[in-house]
Amino acid sequence: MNKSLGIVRRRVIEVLLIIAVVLPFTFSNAIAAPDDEYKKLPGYVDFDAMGIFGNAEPKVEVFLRGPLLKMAIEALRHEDPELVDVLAGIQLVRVHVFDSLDYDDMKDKTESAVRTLEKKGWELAVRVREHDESITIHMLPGKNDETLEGLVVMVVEGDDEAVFVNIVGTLNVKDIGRIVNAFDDDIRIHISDDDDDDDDEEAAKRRKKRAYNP
Amino acid sequence: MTDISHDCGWLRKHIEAFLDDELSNDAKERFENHAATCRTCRAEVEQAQRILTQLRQLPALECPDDVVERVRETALPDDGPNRIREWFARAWAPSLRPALATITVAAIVLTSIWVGRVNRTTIDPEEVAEAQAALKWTLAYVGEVSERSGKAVRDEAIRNGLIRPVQRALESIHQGSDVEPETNGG
Repeated sequence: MNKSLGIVRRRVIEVLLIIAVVLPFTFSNAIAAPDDEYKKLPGYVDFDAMGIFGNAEPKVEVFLRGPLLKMAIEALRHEDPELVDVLAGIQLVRVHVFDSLDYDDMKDKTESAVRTLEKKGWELAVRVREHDESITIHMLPGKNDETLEGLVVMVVEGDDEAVFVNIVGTLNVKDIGRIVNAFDDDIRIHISDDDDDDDDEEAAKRRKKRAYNP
Repeated sequence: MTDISHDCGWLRKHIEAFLDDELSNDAKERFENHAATCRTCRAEVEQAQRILTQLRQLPALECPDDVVERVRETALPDDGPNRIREWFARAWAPSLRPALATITVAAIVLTSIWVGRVNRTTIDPEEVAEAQAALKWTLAYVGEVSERSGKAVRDEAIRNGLIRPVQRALESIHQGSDVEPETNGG
């Protein structure tokens, strides 16, 4: 009886020690997992995986998600309470701005990205090709006709600049106009305070570049 | 040559399996062949089939709660839980304390890490302001691009739908041609 009790004790100790060793790894994985959770969101676009950026380093990178994004949205309440409700569904905002590019290369990569997006169910909302400028706006429809799961904006402006924006989350289609017009005036007012010659092309370029660094 | 009487015995043994569709294809074939030729066996199969059908039509019975309770009392004597508790008290003796202490420490450390992460949600106001500026800027940029692309689409439509047809019409008039100017659908 005592012998079998000793064996049982030893087995129980072994199991508990294994649990004690394995538990921290399991927990650390569980804690770390949410870091990548955003990649599973339907509206998330992995530009890196599409090979658009290659080894290029972005001039500006915006990456907002989780509590910081929620707080940034909430902080808009005193300015525009309705807008806070409209933006509440956004879960991730990513912006990559590149300068000094090879326009043709970037245009080809963007074209390839467009094909990939469309294969994955993204719908082209706008495409503009003018001179050395290319703009595409894609939207991922939600489960019903009234919502979107994501928005992708890809802009290549000559050799000067390329901008990639991915807004992830549930957005109401009828609110898109409200969202894209929310801060237009703010930014322009801010810019016009600094630049006297608003019509000057160079000044416009300078403003744009500065404005990318909020 | 198949031994009929031998197959009768075999069939009787396998009636249940046949009705439950558990026979292999060969066995099923043998069963059906014999039943087709042997009237006695066929009658037995049919009878068994009828019984089964009637049994399946009977309503499902539920065991009354008091019967369940009595069975439980009979199967698990009163002192059962106490005996189990005693066994655990002996098995989980002080020799387990190091392992339990390790688990407790690990749990405390992990909870601290987790709480630390949760507390990270109280973000520096400066960080929030920067995030807000970045968000505003992103939305403004998307707005600007939408406006630009909207204008480009409008310009293109005006170019194709109005300016070019008018240009062609003017050219044709200028050349004194009889060609009717293109109206592009009004």
